[in-house]
Amino acid sequence: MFTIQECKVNSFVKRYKNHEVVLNGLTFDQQITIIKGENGSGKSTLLKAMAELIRYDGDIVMNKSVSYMHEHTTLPSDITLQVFFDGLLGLQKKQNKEKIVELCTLFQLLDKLEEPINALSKGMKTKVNLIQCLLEEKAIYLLDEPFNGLDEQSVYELTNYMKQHQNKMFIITSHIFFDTSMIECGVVYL
Amino acid sequence: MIRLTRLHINYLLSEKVFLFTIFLIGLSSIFLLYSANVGVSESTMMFYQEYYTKQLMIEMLNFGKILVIVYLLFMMIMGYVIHQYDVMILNRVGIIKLKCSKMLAMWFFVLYLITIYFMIFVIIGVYITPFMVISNQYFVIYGEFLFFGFFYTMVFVYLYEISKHLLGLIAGFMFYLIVFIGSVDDIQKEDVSKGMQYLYRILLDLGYYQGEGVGFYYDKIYYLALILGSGLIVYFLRKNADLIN
Repeated sequence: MFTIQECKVNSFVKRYKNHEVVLNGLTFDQQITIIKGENGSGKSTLLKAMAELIRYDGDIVMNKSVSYMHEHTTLPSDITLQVFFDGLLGLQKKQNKEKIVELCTLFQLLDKLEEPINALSKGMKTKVNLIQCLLEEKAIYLLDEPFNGLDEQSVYELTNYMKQHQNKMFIITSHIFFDTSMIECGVVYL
Repeated sequence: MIRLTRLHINYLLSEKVFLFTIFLIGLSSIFLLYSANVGVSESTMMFYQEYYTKQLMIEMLNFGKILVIVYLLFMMIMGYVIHQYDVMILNRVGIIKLKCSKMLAMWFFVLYLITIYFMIFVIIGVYITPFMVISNQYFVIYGEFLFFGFFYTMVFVYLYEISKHLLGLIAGFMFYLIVFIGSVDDIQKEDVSKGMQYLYRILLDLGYYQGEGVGFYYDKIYYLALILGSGLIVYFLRKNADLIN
């Protein structure tokens, strides 16, 4: 059984052209942690750094088996959802088709599989982005603004999904109001 | 790598790409038919067989080069600027594998277009014109064309990797236009101007040289070393850069 590991962020500095993000003494030890903060406080930067997608100074100590959901991913919009998922499945050694069906059912996308991605609404595209991230069997899921554009039902389903997968760790950013009483989670303010 | 390349091809082979490819193939057919001088009498064509053959080949070359570059620009915009799905793939594979597979996918599209273009050329040459005789020479030209496509695929990818902007791709297109406009066909290599000689040191062009036929100004090995060397420079320039914005 996987036990939730601690993630620690110390002396973290990411320099951009016009500003820098400095973070220190952050600990993530809950199964679900929500990172909150104002625009530009470094929420997305921290997730990207945790996913090893950007260069930074400082220490991030954590399990490197992560799956990352980018807030602004552009999906290949001219193809159908089925082609999109088939492509991702093709990269897996052990193709997990059942999980796609499970996640598409959970996020009410099962009847949209034959539709082109550009015909989907913004919320549905967020769900597709979420599914592609959750599809990977990893220890930690880093979700950058997963609630953006989601309806209440989907927010409920996502929180439920996270609660059910207690052997996984979820680190989420959110700049919008999110009722943290809905789930037992840690909150980190930047 | 093959599965990853297939993923890129599947993601990029959209209706838009298909229609644009069909449009270019149609345009090529019309151009090659026009270049085949269908209105000229058969006896005249046969009398000036060498002239007409050379003329058709030079026109096929020039149109084909622009075709490849325009298609490459279009595919690069589709694959790198419009559909930025790389971050999802980075969840699954390493950056080097991702970049190489995407480059291979681009090269595949170019290869596909060049092959169809050549088939149209051969069909028109054999069935429409009375003068063209199929020989090994055309397979050699096909090979040279593939190398041309490969070289510029790499150039476009490098320029995008350095600039991370559409302007990088447009710059690649402009660079080629300069080479294309400056190139003169059907002259001897010794007669190539000094300016063009310098330009050919960094960018290749496929030309028709008197006495040598279709080829590049410098040897292919030189251009291969040039493009691989440039690849190393791009790698070291981007090595410490962020993988995503």
